[in-house]
Amino acid sequence: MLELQDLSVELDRRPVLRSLSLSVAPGERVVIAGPSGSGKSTLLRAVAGLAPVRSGEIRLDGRPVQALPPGQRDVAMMFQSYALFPHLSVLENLCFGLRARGMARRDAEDRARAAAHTLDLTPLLARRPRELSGGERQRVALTRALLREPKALLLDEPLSSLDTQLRVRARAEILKTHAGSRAAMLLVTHDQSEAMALADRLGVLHEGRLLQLAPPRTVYAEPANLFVARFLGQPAMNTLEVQLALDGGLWWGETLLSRRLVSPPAALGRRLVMGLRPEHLSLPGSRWGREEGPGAELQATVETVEPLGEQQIVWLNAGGQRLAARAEPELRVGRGVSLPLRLALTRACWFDPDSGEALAPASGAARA
Amino acid sequence: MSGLRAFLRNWHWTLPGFVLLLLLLGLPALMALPLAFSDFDGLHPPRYLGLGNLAKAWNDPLFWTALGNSLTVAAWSVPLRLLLALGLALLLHRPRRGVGLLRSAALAPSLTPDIAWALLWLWILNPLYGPFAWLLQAFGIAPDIWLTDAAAARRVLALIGLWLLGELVVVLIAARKEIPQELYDLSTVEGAGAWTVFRRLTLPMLLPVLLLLACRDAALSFQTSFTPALIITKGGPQFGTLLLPLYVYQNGFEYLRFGYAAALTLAMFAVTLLMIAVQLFWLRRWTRIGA
Repeated sequence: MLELQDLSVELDRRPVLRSLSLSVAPGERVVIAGPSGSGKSTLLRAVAGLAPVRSGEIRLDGRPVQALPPGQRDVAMMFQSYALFPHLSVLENLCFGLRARGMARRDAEDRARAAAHTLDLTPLLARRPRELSGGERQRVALTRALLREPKALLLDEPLSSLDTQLRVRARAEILKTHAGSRAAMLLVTHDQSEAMALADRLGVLHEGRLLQLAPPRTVYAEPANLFVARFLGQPAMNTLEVQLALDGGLWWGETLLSRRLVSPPAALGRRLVMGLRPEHLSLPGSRWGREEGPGAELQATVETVEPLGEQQIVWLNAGGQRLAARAEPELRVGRGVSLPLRLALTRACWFDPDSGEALAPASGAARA
Repeated sequence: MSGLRAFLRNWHWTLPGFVLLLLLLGLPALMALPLAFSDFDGLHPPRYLGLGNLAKAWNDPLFWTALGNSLTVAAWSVPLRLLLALGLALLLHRPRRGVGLLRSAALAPSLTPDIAWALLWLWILNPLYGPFAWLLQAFGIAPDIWLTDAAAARRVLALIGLWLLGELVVVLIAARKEIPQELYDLSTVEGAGAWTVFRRLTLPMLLPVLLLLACRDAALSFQTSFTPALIITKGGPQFGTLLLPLYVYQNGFEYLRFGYAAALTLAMFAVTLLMIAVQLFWLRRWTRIGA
C-alpha cells in the first residue's frame, strides 16, 4: 500500500507538486496522466527518494519513508530510457538490485533465471542491452524492477520509447507482468490511451495538482473540470458556452438548443459550459451517437473529414465554432454540406465557465 | 565498423590537423630515419653505417640505464597520474559553485610551458629556500635527500609528472558526463552504495576511455619527462634521472652525435610502440570482459 499525503515538492524554489494525496493498494495500478511539465516525473522521483520532499508524507504499508534514502524504501523504478546497464548482460542487469543488497551471486541468478523463465526472457539472458529490441529492453527493465518484489513499482513513461505498433503489445506485457505481483504500481504517462488502458484508477495531473482520480471510465465520462475534459479524448471534448434561460430553456447564442432540460445542472439564468464528446454528436444517417431521450439539433457545415479506418472524425463548423463528431466509416459525408447535427444532451457534462469545475451531474465522480 | 565508415566519409575534416602533423612531426621523423643509419656530426658529410648505431646502442650501458630510468618513471607516473585524474574528474564533473575555477586549475599546468613549470619545481624543491623543504622542516623531516639520491630523484621526477594531468581530467570529465544519469538514479533506487556504484557502474563505463588514456599517457610520458629531467636534475645524480629523451638530446646537441641520437630515437619509438601494443592487448581483453 503506497500512500501519499499532502505531498509538496519544490525544484529550484519553484513548486512542482502541490499538496498531492493519493493511495495505491497492493496489486493496484494507478496511472497519473498529464501534459509535459505537469510534474509527473517529479512525483515518481519524490516517491523513489530522488527528489526532495518539501512537506507531506509518503507511506509504504503504513511506514513513513520520506526520510529514508532511496535504497531503503523498498520501491523499484522503471525509467523512461529503461536504464539498463550497457556493459552488463541481461542476467547481470536483472541481478543488479539483488546483488547491490548483498544477495549472493548464485541466489540472485537463480531468482533472475526463474523470473526470466516465466516471462520468456531466457533466450535473452546472455545478451547485452544493445542486442535487444525496444520491446525486449522494456520487458527486461520491468522484470528487473519486479524481481526484488518491491512494495511499490514506479514506471516513468514506460512505452514512450517504443514505436506505435509495439506499444499496444507492450501494454499487454506490462499488465501480464504486473499481474503476478503484489506491488502497488504507480505509472505516469502523457499518452492518454496508454493511461486509459493500464489504469485501475486514472489521475490527471496539471501544474502539480491532481485534478481528478477515479476509474478511467469515470474520468472520461464525468471529468471533474474542463482541463480533464479536454485532456482526455481524441479529438478532445467539444465545449460550447451556453446560457440557461430563466424559463429553463438552453441557449447557445441565438440558438435554442432545448426548450427544457430534464435536470438543469445549475441555477436558471446562469451561463454554463456544455461539454460533449465527439461520439455524442450524431450526423444525420449515422447509427453512432444516437441516444434515447431528449436531444438538441444544431445546423452545422462539414469542414473536413478524417477517415481513420475504424471510424471517421468529421469536423464541423456551427456559428463559427469548430466541433468534432465521430461517425462510422461507411457513412458518406460530403464536405461543405450543411446538415442538422444532433447533440445527445443527456450525455453532456456541465462546467462553470469561470472556474472550469464540473457542475451537478458530473459531481458524483470521485474527486482527488 | 560504422565508426570507421563515418570516418571514411568525413575524413577531409581532419585534413588541416593532418597536414600540420605531417609537416611538423612526420617529415622530421622521416628525415631522422636515414640519419639513424649513418654517422653525422654536423661538420662532416654523413657516412653510412648500416646498423652500426643500433649495435652501439645495444652495447651502450648508458642507453640501458636511460631506458630503465624512463620505464621506471613511466611505471610510477602513468598509473598515479591516471588515478589522480580519475579522482579529480569524479570530484569535478558535477556543476557546482566554483567548479569551473577548479577545472581550470587542473588544466593550467598542461598549458604552462614545460620550461616554466620545470623552473618552478626547481625552486619548490630547493632544499635551502624552497617551500617544500620548509614544509618538511615544519614536520621535522630533514630536507636534503630527494635530489641527491638516484632512486629518490627518479621518484621526484615521477611525482612532478603528476602535475600534467589536466588533459586527462578534461577527457575523463567528458566521459563521466556521457554516462546517463538514469543509470545512477536506478542504482540509488536499487540500494547500491557509493562503492558499488563506482565499481559496478562508473569504473566499467569509463574503462575503455581509461585504458586508451593510459596508452596515450605512457607514450607521452617519455616526452613530457624530458624537460624536468633536463632542468631539475640534469640526468643526475649518478645517471639516476638520465631518461631516454634526455640521453638522445645530450648525444645530439651536446656531443654532436646526430646519427647515434637518431638511432636512439628510433629505439625509443620502438619501445613506445611496444608499450602501446601491450596496453592495447589488455584494452581489448578488459573491454571484452568489462563492457
